[in-house]
Amino acid sequence: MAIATHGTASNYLQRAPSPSGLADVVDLILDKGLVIDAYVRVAVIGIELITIDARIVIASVDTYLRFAEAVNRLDLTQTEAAGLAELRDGGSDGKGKGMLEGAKKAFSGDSGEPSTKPSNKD
Amino acid sequence: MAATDSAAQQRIAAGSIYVYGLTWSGRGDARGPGVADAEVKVLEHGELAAIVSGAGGGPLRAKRRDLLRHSEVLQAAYTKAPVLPFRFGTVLDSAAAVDELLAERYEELVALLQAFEGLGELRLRASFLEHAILAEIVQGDPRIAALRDATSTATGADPRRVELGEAVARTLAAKRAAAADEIVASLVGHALELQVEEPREELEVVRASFLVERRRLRKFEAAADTLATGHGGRISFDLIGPMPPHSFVSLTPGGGA
Repeated sequence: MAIATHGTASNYLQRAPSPSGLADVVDLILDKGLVIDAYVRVAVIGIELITIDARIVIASVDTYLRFAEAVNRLDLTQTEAAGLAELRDGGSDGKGKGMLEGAKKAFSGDSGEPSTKPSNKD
Repeated sequence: MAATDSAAQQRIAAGSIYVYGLTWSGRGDARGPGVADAEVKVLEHGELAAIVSGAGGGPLRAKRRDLLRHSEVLQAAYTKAPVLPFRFGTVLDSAAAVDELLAERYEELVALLQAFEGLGELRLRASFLEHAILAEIVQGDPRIAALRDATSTATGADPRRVELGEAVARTLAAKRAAAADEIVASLVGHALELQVEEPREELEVVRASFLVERRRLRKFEAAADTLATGHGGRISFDLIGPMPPHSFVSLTPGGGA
């Protein structure tokens, strides 16, 4: 039952045996797992702050303007080379990330705690 | 979340026990350090073993280090035996309370643990690469290309820029739906269950968990690899696991009460 990382045939699939960063654990661990609610309290501060509905709202003028901005500054002469180089360089390490991924960075920033949003409660 | 609100006002009493999850007695590998640097151990009840550590002191916060510890402790146990992961932050008042919990819901928990024997969760996230997908959208639609040219010097909320952005967003949504369908369809046959979540980022294509038999892991990975190669340069794929089945464990609420 070894779960060592192993290579894949291509370099296009990033593999990890377990979650390694804050974004991964927030995504995978935070509001999942068995809850035996009749007996057990989940005694954590801040859960409601970091399980904010992170769903993106695509249909807004702000989003449209961001897309327009991103499309306007595209350099189409570099399209294919850039796309492939990005993956060869290791893809998800932050290289080649553009403005549209800003929300993700804010959410999974490198601080000790997940970034939070002010709560409306109390 | 009422439980969380009240927890915020409570101190965790000394002698409290943090529970990571359950595994089989004698098969688990309980290794620390655990949440808040506490030593990890097992509390056995019949065939069941709770993986626990002491949780005295202050209230628990959802910090990076402790979330990772929770995950790492479960992952270590999972290399040896099936594991039922509990939700992060599960704390019982005492070792006796843990024993009572295992006793009261023994049959149910044993059956659930048996059900996950040989299985693991794989988490897949796929996202468009911004430059590649936007170029594809511009080059694939003469109207968008024309709008792009027309707005190259426009600024602010120029209606043509809004129109351009809206057209791009619409095309992106269609491409996302098509790619997501293809990805899920290619992988679902290698899994027993799946859970697809709403994308949370603009360029995200798929965020999903798959419950996979470990003996079929290689086939699943090969299928994911084929997909990733097919979309090389256009979509990045991240696959994590196999892990304890965080997304797939559940019990009937209060079933033993």
